[in-house]
Amino acid sequence: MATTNLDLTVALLETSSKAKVSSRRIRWESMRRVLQLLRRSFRETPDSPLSEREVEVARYAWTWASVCMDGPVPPGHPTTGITRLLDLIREADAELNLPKLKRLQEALVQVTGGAHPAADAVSSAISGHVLEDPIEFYSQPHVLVLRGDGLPGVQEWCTELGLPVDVVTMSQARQSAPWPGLGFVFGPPERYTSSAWVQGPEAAAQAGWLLTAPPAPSMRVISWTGHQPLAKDGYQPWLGAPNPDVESGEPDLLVEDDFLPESLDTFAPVAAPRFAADEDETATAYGLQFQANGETVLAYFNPDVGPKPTTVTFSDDEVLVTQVPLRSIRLGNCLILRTSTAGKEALDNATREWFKEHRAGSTPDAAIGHQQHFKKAIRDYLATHSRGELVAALEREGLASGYSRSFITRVLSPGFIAPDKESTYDRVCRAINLDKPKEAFRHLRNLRTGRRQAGLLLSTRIAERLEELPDLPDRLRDHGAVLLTQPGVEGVALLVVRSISAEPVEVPTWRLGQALTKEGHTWSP
Amino acid sequence: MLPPAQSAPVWLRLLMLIAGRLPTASVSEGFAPRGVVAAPTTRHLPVALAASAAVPPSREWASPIEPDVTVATVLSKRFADVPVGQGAGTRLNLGGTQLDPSRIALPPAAVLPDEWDVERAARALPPDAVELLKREFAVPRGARPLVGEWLYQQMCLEPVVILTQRPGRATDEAGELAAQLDWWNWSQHVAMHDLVEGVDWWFRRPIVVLSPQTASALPWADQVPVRLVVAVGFSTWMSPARHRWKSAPQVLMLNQRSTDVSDFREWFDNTSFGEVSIPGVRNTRKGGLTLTAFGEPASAFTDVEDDEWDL
Repeated sequence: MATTNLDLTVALLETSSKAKVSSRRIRWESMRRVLQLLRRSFRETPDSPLSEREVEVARYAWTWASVCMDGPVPPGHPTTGITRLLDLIREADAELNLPKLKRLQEALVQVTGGAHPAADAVSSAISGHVLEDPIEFYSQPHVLVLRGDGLPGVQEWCTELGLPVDVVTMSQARQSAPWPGLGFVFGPPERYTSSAWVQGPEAAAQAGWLLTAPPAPSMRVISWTGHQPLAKDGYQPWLGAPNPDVESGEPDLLVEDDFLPESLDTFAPVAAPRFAADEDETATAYGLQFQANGETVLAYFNPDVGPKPTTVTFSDDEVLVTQVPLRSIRLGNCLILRTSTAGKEALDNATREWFKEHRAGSTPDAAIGHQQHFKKAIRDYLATHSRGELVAALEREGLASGYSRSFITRVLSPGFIAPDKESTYDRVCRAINLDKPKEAFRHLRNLRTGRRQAGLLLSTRIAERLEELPDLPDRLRDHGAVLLTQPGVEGVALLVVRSISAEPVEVPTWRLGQALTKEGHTWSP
Repeated sequence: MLPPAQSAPVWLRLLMLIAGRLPTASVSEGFAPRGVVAAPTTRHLPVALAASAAVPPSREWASPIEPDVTVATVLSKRFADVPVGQGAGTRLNLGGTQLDPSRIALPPAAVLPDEWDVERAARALPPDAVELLKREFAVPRGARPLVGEWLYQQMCLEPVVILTQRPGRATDEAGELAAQLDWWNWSQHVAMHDLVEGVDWWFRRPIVVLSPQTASALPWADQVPVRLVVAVGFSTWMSPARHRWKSAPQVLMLNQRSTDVSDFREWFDNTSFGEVSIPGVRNTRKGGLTLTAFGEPASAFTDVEDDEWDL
């Protein structure tokens, strides 16, 4: 034990020279659900404002989560703030009666019903260390370094178990280092220094000493669902200095996004179908080809018009359903496509749910009426004028020529609702002499937001359903497709991309993003 | 430089490596050699590095004592700052003492620069350090032993400068380090012995410990040679003080456990510095230390008003 200043210097140097770092990442399924709910349903955006009650719930929930992210504090421990959080949810639910509040409550109960996943990792590492390397004369030879949010809960947990550890913050660790046994860091070191002012590489550089000049010779980085993974670089005192060797018990977080079957023999690309289409309502699109249980399925996407491809990826932690740009699609990726009217209805229903929760006084039907009215006005104008005349009319109203040309294709695609800005909408209306009702744009904006939020909600639901399906990546590799039939996600297919056409074809805008047969008709599995 | 003592720990051997090689490292023209030592603490290490950089005395030296200069030297076994005048015949008048350079060797000395403003009395040399030198400094068979005080004075003529915000600490740490008798060779022992803070000890100790504020204010700083500058902490490194000795080799001691690291990275990473090749020093991690060396443009610094620096 260091008794003089020089002893301390020598002990610190010896600790650094012996430093070994190992990392372990743990899945925490129930916490993942809570975090996902908070991110997807309790995040305020300009499109999706939250009520004061919801904001309060979200704030308390994030505070609780950050305590749970801090270390092995029992998630139902009173110091986490869980009691107040559950009270707030109950009060908010009584007032607002929102399904998402009930979902959050259920998810929280799931988390608090179990132990913290890091608790076992810490206690078993310490008992293993005692067997391997008994340290005498030290009453507390090990150290748990916490950011600070979970300190009282973790301290209590350690005392109850009689663990020979000190539980300290990073600055206390700096003051009192070194410890002779194990040191535990929870999540990547940058967590400890990140703030509104210090982030990213700067935070990693400030906290890098936890690994490069550590408080104990054997450091364990334990992270779990909700933590960022340990960075590969940036903890050393300057660029180019040796990084700490991190021994990882597990492979890095694996993201699966390639579901090509092992044998590629049975596949052949097909020619694009001939679409009989009205010239005004087509778009130049690129074809993706799938093979669902031996049957050819096609889908066409335009980078700007119509729906964007939605992909499904799998990681150790979660299933991600994400809209991506067309150019990032690769062979073997898994796309989600609607295969029946049920899929469309699911989106409509989700839109209605959103309107019900957020837009009292506005309905999707009224908004859709305005959308159709706007499109009809464009079609009527084009019935008596050429596309060139419409472009000229838009330009006369001050719209850029590039925008005006692409606008005509976009406005006629089924997914288009309205221009983003009201001033642009007003100009288009003036160009086509549409006498629009005053409140029309407000309805259209609501509809656009509602659709976006409904899309996100559906993505969440689909991801949740997919997480319940066993061996999904293998099923995709074996069959090239998986069809969802569960309530709320029926009419949705997961399809593996087998071919991406390099040659664009003209496709009716209403066909974009749909699952089609090789003849160009709607595909039904 | 002398080899390390047998019981010198790994970290000390690394500090000796950088202290010994940096002053003679080859760098491109216009660049000066710089070293960085990152460690879990900056306690004790600056003194250990400085002691390792101090140059042991030799049997040969050129004395700059001549008429019409003022020198810092040893007279009657005491440090003294004395004017030199022409004495009778070939003799020199050294503060009242007549010496004949054609008959006896002149003591080691440093010419005090024109703007030298340190008023100080004559003082005794640290007797233990002098004794140690007398005992350890090898005398060839048949040669006359050298005056111990002169050997000590030699070691003070090109001092190692430690710039630190807490100069008092360095002197305490030198005492603690010196107590580890078997870590050091005799030159390091002498260098650390009786380390005291302040500009009064310039040319009177092998290591001079100054705060950056004091160093910045010295009117004569750039007119005196230094062996090596050790800057403790990045705020010291960024103060104007070290630029008083732009062409001297300099080492930054960085505490890895402080926010200095991220500030240093902002300054250092992705900046195009010159290469300095010292085997075993560039981007090395050993013994609890991380080391590197680089070349800094010796002319890049322009004078900055003192009040721009928050020291």
